[in-house]
Amino acid sequence: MYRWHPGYLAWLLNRVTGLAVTLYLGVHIWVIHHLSQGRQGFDRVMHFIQSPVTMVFELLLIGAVLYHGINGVRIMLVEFAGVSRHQKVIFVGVLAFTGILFLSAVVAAIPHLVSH
Amino acid sequence: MERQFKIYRFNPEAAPAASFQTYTVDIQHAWTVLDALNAIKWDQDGSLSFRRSCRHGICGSCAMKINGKNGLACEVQVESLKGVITVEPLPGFKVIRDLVTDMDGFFSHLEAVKPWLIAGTPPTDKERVQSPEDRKLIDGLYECILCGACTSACPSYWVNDDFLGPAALLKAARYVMDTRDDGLTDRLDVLDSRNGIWRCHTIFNCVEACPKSLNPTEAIVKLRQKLAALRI
Repeated sequence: MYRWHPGYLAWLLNRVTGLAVTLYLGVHIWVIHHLSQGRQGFDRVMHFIQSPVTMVFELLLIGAVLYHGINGVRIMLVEFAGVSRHQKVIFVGVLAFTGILFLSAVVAAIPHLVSH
Repeated sequence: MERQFKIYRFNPEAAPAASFQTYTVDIQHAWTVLDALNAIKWDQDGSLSFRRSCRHGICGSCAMKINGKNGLACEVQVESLKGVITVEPLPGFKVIRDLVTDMDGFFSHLEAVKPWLIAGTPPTDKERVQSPEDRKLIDGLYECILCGACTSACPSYWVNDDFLGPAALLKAARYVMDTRDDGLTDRLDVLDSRNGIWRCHTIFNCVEACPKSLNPTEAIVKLRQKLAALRI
């Protein structure tokens, strides 16, 4: 750790969300492999997956995917569009865009959470 | 006005572990951190070790971490700092003693990128003329004073000190972007290696650390674009 600044925070969040999405991939494969156990086995795991707690994690996953993807665009702009001098402003834009989309997902998920 | 300086002390011959020692210094108006360090060394504790030379922010000798930020001790005004002033050696480099770090690796990486003009034509008895437009291409690249502040702040360098680091790559860009230079292919094996330009993760610590407000990340990106264009 050197100092907190937008570039460092952007990189750190990119790593954390990247690891989270990779972890999710493992969980996803674990869930899908229950198909081999027939309908009852798959229903059992889906019952667990559809619990409110898991849905909160799904929302966090959406946030991680959104940030990782949108920050990826920021990285491409830095690499190919010669905008490295404006990376701090672009990072604020990444956070704002991620935040808006994430909140939209939360609003969309609230009825499902409440119905459980 | 009296100010307190909490200074990193390490003498491997005396004690295996580093510690901090606090000094109180009577600061005069417009003193830099280097002035304060000199006052400590000359009047209080002659054993304090640090590098300094030009005192004008151009030799790069007195780069150190001051209140958590890399900078040149001869440029940082004491009056611009708040509270107890913590002075540490540059992070990421092996400490030899107190504020003196081992810069051998840093300079060997610099040498590896061949930081000199490699012209494709034989020298003549005249200078190699450059247009003002071409000269402008190396603005922001030639000003590096090789203080090491950027490389020492780079996380990619912390985990792998074989990585060339931002200072060496900025210097490489200075010559690669020079229209009089034809040495890109001579530098390719180093720049395009596993410890070359691709190891930068655009964290921008180097930009935050540079006391000359240079942008090594931008230089590295330019090198990447240049090398990518070569392959297409």
